[in-house]
Amino acid sequence: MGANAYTIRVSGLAHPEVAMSVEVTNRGAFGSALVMLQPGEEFVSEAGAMYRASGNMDIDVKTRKREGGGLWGALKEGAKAMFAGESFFLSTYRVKDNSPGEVGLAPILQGEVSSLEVGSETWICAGGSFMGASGGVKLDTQYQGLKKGMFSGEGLVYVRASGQGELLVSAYGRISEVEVRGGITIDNGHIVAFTEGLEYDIGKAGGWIASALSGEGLVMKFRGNGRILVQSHDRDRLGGALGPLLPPREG
Amino acid sequence: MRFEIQGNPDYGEVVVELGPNEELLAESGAMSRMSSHMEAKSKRLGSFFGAIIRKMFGGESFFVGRFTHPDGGTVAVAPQLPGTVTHRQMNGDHVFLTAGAFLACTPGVNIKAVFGGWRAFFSGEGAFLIEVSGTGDLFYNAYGGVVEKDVDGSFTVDTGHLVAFEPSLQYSIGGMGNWKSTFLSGEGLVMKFQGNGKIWVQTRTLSGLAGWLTPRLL
Amino acid sequence: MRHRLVCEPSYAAVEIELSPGEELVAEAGAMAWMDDSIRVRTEARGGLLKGIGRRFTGESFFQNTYYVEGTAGQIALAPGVPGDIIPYEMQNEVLIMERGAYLGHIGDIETSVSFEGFRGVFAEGLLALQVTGTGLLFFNAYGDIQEIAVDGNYTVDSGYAVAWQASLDYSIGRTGRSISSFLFGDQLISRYHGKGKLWVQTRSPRTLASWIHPFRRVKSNNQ
Repeated sequence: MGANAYTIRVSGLAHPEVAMSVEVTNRGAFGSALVMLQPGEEFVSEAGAMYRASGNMDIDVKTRKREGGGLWGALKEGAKAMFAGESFFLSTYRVKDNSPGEVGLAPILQGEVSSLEVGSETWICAGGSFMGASGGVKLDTQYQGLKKGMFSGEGLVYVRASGQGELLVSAYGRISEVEVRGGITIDNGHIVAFTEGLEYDIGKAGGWIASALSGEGLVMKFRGNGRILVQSHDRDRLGGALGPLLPPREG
Repeated sequence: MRFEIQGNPDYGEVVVELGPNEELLAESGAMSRMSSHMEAKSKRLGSFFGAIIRKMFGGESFFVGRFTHPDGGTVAVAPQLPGTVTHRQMNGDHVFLTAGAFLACTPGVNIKAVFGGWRAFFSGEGAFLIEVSGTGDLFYNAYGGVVEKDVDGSFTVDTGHLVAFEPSLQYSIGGMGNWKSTFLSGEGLVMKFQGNGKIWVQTRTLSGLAGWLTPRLL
Repeated sequence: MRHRLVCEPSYAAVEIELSPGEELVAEAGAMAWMDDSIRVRTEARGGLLKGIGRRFTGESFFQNTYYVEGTAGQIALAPGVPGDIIPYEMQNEVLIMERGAYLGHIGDIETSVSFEGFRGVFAEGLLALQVTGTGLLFFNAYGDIQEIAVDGNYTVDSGYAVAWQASLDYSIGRTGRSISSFLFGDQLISRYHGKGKLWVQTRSPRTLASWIHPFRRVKSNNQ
């Protein structure tokens, strides 16, 4: 994989908050995005995704909207969600003065970053894949529209991105796009995002016993037509290999 | 059977197109995506008793995934850690792999766990090597990039950086040459190879990542 | 002395060829493979962590010096974390770098450990290394490395700062105004002012540490 840098410029003159310029860079194993904002423009990202910013950038960290619970409830939820690998908080970026500013965003683990157009498609992002979005994108960060059955859990919380604008997703590994015509089976740990409209079932790759023996986990069996972004590697396999080699933790 | 390795050198994965009733064997949990009709089964490698010993000492797991279908189909497999994936055509020759390097193979390839030596147990990567022989396609992976070394004499490799080597080479496992460096150098044990043959090494190790992360833990 | 980088950019290792009389100092555990003529000497490093009042587990106090006996020989160094390696020619200058970024050096270079940040109740900050002198320095990053020529002001989340020239002034503070970011230590920010080079990496050890948290074993009572 050589250097693969490209620039996407999105402008929407009717809504100034939609206009901004995003440069996605995937160099070797590491992707990142540089968002350049003009005065009046706005960009949202998963809190903690920001790693560099020009001195005139205003960063506002706020909790996601939740019903009830109060501040303390929200903070406890935040702690739990943070340790589940998903930041509870969103950061909003605006420039403080009248000159352009920039903010650099990067994912938690090594892997590529991709930019998706929201508008003609509504995207569903897997947990941990959502990185950022421009002001015109509507984010449903508690999307629980997935079929649960016996497999629901924190790992299956997805983010639904609709409206109009640009969506940034990150992966563990290399991102490939799969055009689905009919059906495909994808291991749950390899899903980055998919277009709304695809139907799916959650199950095991080969039946309970065969999967338990062969080590295969949950899979999503997709049906219909649409697009799926997949990642080459699975975060849980890294966690399972690295975790036991580290000192034990206090609870 | 047709295959394509995608994503090298950083995120190697193998996409295999199987013909009717052709099989691919892959390490536990390696399947990332496959045709909707493809079936995943399991297969036991080696004898039951030998495999229990292997599991105790941290070697490759006992069962592998077996992918096949009367109509054929596509299956993609990826390793546990990201890096370079290499294909090797086996033609009745032998090669040794370290515990985590095996990714996938076709059924004519033989896989046997071989005890690496008592001191290999402390290297953090498991005490077993895998001896590969037979005929067919072998896919193995490295954590990070792979460098091939032609050894003619002696060569030393930090145990965690070894991926594979040819059986014409002998090796011994020991310290860094003096007692203080062996205990304090942070290197742990190293493998000293002697003879003529090829060694494949990787540029990252899981224990190196664990060591780097430990002072930064919460 | 010759060197070459292999497997760039993200899983870089550096192969160094030493001639008799040359010495390479390297971080503990960095040796990946080496020729038979390479020898090693292990010593305690300077600048121990006295007076900081906080225990840094897993830190190594030792460094290895490699040299050859007989013929020239090659030794490869690899960092513990995926990312770039930068070979940097130091010309009688001072660099400050994140502790884990140091890989090795050849020449008249001194390294000492320092603590950059504010002490007090939360004792947040960076365990850093001061690198002084002239010679060839090898340092690594977690991720892609970006060089920023600061001229004015620049802000970086502290976990992403790899190294900077000591000519830069900087302060460490917090971002955001909400109480939630304060309680969860959301972002510890380094603000740089002045003129100088700053190297930034695109991944942070701290976010990796919080991500891996649920995968670690839990301490049981009888440990």
